[in-house]
Amino acid sequence: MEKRERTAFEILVRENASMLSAYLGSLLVDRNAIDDLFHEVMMVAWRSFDGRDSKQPFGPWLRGIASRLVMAEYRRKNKVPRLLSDDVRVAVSEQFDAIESNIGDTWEQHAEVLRNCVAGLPVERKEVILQRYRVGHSVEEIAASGELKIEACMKRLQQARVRLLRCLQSRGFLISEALPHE
Amino acid sequence: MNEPIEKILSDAVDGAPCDSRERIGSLEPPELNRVAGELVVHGLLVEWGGRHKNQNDQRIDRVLDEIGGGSKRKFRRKARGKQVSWFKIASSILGVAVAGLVILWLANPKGDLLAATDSVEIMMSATLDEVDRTYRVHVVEKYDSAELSADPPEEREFERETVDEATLVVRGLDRFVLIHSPVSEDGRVAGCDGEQSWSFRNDTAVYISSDLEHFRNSLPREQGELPSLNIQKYLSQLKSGYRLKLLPRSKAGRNGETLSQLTGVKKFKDVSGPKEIEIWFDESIGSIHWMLLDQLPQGRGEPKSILLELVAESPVSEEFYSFPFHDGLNRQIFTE
Repeated sequence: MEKRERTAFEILVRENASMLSAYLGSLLVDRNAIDDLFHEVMMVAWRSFDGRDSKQPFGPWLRGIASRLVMAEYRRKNKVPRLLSDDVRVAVSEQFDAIESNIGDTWEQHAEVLRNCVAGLPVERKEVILQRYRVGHSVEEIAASGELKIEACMKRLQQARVRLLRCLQSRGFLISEALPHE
Repeated sequence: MNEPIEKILSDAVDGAPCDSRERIGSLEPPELNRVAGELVVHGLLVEWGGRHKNQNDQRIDRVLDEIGGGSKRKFRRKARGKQVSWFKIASSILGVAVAGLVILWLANPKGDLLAATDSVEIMMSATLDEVDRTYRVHVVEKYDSAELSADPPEEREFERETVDEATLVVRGLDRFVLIHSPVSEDGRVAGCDGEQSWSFRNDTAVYISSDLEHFRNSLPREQGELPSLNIQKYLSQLKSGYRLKLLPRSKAGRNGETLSQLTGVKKFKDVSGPKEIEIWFDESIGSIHWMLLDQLPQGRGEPKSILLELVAESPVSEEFYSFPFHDGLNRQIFTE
């Protein structure tokens, strides 16, 4: 019985690893801290796995655990990001629900959609996105390499993300609402 | 709250998130949706950015290692210790047999589909890097006349233009330049600078297009009969339309790098592209050193097999990807 349970859990861990990493990133968890929080969330999930309602989907349940642990960690350090109100966290979770409601789509396919949207960015915005997320540079490093002011660099990054958001919404990947123009 | 939400968002994601003394108030639905949407985009990008480092695999391994040796497993080991010895021996034999099978399975690349798929992902990530890579194109084999169903005179007419010995320089997602060798009488040059694609031949105008794929999909001839040289496209097809086999560490590269070989055989006839794709790549960074496109779709005068060979990773200037750099400055420009 335990072996079957462990196998089932292992499959769910593999299926949800990308989602959980993305979710932790959405809650503004520092990239260096994602490893530890990912581990902690999965271990809490494993210890509670016996008692969970197996008819309920695993993803939202895992995100519930993650949200509680992330907020507890922020409070412990007395550094709760001012954006992370309850409303915002619920809205973030709804966006993830929307992603998962694309029946049949794997996270591999989701990554493909994102990659295509990045490909469609104007070259300057694409460069800052690649430097920030693929290379892992800080805003200061990107600004220095592009001879930009830090504020201009942050603005460019934000404009790129808004454009990606619109792209993902237009493909039905994220919940769509009217967005202000850049 | 007087501060614009854009500023708070930007600070939170790229700057220094503030502490709990200054929480935002409740947001109107459009603002709430925007904040949540941008945070999710940030999270997706963080996850996407870590893919080429296999971060998720390492996280999964760490979890599985722990639950494998956790309290539940220890309890099981204690219970097992109380059972009779013959059962222990049988279990041991069975364990050795299973371990042997696992080793055989691991040694058998046919079973390692997950690793093969991962390797495609690693290569795709590498193609997104802002690294300039120069490939030489070799036509390995042409369809002979018996295999060609097209009209022979027309085929001869196209023979003058060949992709053999062309040079392909690529950077990231959408910058490339393809320069035909002098063997090709038309001397065509085509490229994309990330904002527009372009193409011209000896003594012709420059054709430009805002469709970044416009001249890439029809390379090197406008009729689209010669194969595309879009490495990313072939990698994307590999994941969905090909049966994959990975041979880790099967070859040494030019500079002593250890290269793995990935072979893809088309699963279905209706999948576009060559029947077989073979790639030798550096597994540690995902760079492709050789890519063989074998048994390409047949047409008039097309090559049957093409090999892309990595010849340099030297940086080129940003201007290199624009047409003025290639003597296209004083030509008439037509927009397609």
